[in-house]
Amino acid sequence: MRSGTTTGSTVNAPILYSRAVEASGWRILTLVVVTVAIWIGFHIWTGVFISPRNLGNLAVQMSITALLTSGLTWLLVAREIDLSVGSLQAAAAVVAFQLMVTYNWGVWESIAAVIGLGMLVGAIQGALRVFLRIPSFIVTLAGFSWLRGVGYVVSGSQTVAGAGDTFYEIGNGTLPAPISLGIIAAITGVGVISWLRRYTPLLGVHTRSPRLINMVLLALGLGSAALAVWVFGASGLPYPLLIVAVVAFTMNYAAKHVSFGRYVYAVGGNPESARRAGINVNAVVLSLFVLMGGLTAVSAIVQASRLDSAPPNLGLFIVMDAISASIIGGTSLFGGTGTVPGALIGALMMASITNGLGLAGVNSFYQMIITGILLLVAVAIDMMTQRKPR
Amino acid sequence: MNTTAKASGAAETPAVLVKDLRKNYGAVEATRGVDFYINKGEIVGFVGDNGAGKSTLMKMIAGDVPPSSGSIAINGHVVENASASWARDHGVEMVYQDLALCDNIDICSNIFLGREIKRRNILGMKCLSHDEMLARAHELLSMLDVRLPSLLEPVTALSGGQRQMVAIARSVAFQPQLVIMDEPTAALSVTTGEPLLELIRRLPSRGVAVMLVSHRLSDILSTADRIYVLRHGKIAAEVRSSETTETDLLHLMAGVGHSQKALS
Amino acid sequence: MTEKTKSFEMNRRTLLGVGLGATAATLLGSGMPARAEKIKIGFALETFQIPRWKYLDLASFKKTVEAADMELIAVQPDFDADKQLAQIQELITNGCKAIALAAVVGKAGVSMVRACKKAGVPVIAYNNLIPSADVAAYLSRDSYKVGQMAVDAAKKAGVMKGNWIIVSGEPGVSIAEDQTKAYLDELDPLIKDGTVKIVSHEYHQGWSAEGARSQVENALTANNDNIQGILCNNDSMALGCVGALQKARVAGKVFLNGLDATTEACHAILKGEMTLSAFTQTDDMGRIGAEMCIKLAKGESLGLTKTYDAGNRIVLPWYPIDSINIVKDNMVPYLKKYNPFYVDAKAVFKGIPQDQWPQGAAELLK
Repeated sequence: MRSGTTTGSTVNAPILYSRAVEASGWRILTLVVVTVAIWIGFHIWTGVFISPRNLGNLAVQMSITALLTSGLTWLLVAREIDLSVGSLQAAAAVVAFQLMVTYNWGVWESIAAVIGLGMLVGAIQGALRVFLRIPSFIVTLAGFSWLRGVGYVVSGSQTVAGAGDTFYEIGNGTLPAPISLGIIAAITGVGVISWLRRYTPLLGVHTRSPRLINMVLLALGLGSAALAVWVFGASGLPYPLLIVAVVAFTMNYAAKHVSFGRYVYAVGGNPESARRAGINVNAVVLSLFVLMGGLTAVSAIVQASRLDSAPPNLGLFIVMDAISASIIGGTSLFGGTGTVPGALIGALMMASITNGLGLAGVNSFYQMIITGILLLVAVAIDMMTQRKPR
Repeated sequence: MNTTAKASGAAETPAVLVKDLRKNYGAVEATRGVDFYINKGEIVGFVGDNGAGKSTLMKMIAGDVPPSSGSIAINGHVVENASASWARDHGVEMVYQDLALCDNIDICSNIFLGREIKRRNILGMKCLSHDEMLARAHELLSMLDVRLPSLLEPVTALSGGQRQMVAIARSVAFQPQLVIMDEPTAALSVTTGEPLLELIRRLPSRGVAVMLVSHRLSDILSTADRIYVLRHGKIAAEVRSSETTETDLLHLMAGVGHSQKALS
Repeated sequence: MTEKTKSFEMNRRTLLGVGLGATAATLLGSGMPARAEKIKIGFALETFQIPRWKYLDLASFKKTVEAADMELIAVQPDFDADKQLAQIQELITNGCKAIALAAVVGKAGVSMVRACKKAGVPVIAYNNLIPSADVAAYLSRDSYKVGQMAVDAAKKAGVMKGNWIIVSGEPGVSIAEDQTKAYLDELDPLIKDGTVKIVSHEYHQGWSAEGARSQVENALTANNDNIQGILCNNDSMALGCVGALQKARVAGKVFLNGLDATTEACHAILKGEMTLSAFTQTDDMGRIGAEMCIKLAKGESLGLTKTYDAGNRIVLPWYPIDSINIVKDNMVPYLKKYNPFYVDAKAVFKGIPQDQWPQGAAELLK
């Protein structure tokens, strides 16, 4: 390990390298490669898959699952689970529409209320888990039922619709093109600058040695930016995608740079060790459920806005998709491993398959079969290429 | 004669001073009136058969379990409300037998777990200061003369001996008064255990007092300055390691044969 | 050892990437297959699980579209509104010039129609009401009339009194809502004067037979099996009701109607366990729907005169299609026309003793 030159704050900082980080980088790359291959395959089959219109649709179609899978990934990392997300989604959508249409609340007040409601439900489920020590599988399995029932009762089994244009914009609207391009440029710029800072001496002392994977990921990032410009340059970035991006960036940042994020992984790795280190494990777990509830409410808003209605049978099986996406993206069901970016690519992959098969006119039942097989293949490959600990 | 701090010439407060410590679990008396002390820079070994009360004693000192009666003073401060956080705040660190590391996290993060160094980022929010933590960890390991692969390596990829080193490095990272070691070499072979014992022997030079609990008598004899023998929840004997042998210790543990300093 | 493992992983992944890249390049290089330039029409059905959709609506719709030298893309979302929205987007992406949409949830269909309008694709609301002024037309059976016809049949048979159960279909769907409204409107005076008592009324997600069965079982239990009749919104649920009636051993003594005149329903009618099932010529509906879409794809107007009031001051151009009640007496002509692709005459008559066959049945089964 070499020492960098001292610049005051970093004394004798060695230039470091981590095999584990490199391995996870390769994993993400593999997922991306497979997704691109799927895209190319569907484009050959249908002729219209790789088009700004369809990729734009795809981005929005995956956004709802993406929001759910982000929260679920952290829960799975911490050795918890939430089976109730689909039911909460329906209940939240129903409440949102009741507030806006039946009680004439304003759009933003309703959204705030519903997100608060989601977080409250999360707090309740988290409290049951933490204080009564009921396993989260059971707490949320119960939630799967009772929340669905609440949705039906509040809505009287009727679908309420028509919340007005402002609400409709959330799920269906886009940012104006110039602003969208500006945002893409800004994000790309920030990404490139931090990459240079970290891996090259160009912008101050660098702290990590760049490996092949880092260069490839940089190229990948630039490629994605170019793709984003092609897809959204004319029509603008859809709001749901922006929401997902904000959530993803925040959670990824928190995982690496904020103590709470680190504690999530510590609790998942070894809850007893975390407790002994002085981490308030209960607080961490409770927060994760509250976060999940909030994210579910947000996904409900987006979903209900897209349909401009709140059918009480919303999200019947979406929890399966969200969990599958997370696992395909590298999350372990036993806790301790998993990232939000990985889960998002998993969600993108699954959405691509559904979208592509739909374009090709394949029966939706085949989509179910293929999604199931995909999950098995992803996990099998993972188990086979995993380095076993000594 | 009891070697007290006064008698040895230094008028320092002992790192640990325990008086008449007792612990009852219902009708069972796990600890029945234990007195001992450990000075700064001393390695004191605790031996005893299974059920002699070693682990209860450790748990009380570490704050995991509150005593039924008696007093514990760490560096002169008497423990009021025994808790793990109190112990940590007053410089008591424990290296558990299972190491209490998080396997999925890297070495540096494990060392700083729960006590991360933070800084403010561009947006003024508190975030982790990776550079600072890596630098300090690097320093720490150099000073302890511990060789490990990259600090960013997840702990799961290390060997048993290396993981022990990480656990011990963590225990001394924050200038503790006392480090309690629970069977540090139990899972290791004699050859892998030796570097570990050497590391433990280096700890007193940093002013740390060490409470070493082990059933490997040879390790205790080669590493500890003094040894307390526990039997049936009481201190049966206190000996200097230079003045005793394994056989003697076994006799003391079992309570048979003549002993040098029997205190029953 | 770990170095070797790492290079093994890297090799595996590199191989994967190179392999995929090569395959893709080859396929692209070999040239993409030429695409037919026919005009595309989209048909977004509700489901394949209920037979009429596949065998009547879809079959005649497809035939009509292809006869006009156009291409049909048909999709169904298993009752999931979100899936249907995605499918509509795919139809638009695929370049459909007109879409017939059987909305799984009528109100959610509004935003789907909106998306189509934005893309400039005309939409007809097929079979299920979509309360949107943006649809070019609403094509459906006159479900209200179907409900009236069922109540009339019961009145004519002299059984319209006592304890009755109403089994309604998917809530929010006009077929269920309109029939149910007709029942309640027709029964209102009889309920008020106490002739008729509605002892149970439930809606069932997905027109679930299981749900219908449970509802009737519970109502029978609660009323000591004293039920005079069941008004039911469709055949699949009616068969669930039959199961409940059989268990209570009152099948045949209780009025029961259905909708769609499926094979199983006809069989039940012959056995006497069901009284009637309304049949709408949905093959005609499919044909007419296709004709409408073809006109819209060509940019022609539809010229409809009737309207349907969807409430909230939304009024749609309407093309209603009539239905007839199929009972034992008129079953043979019905079977003659629709056997074997929609109903299976042999299965209808299976196990029915020959002396109970309606006239003309023997020739049918040759």
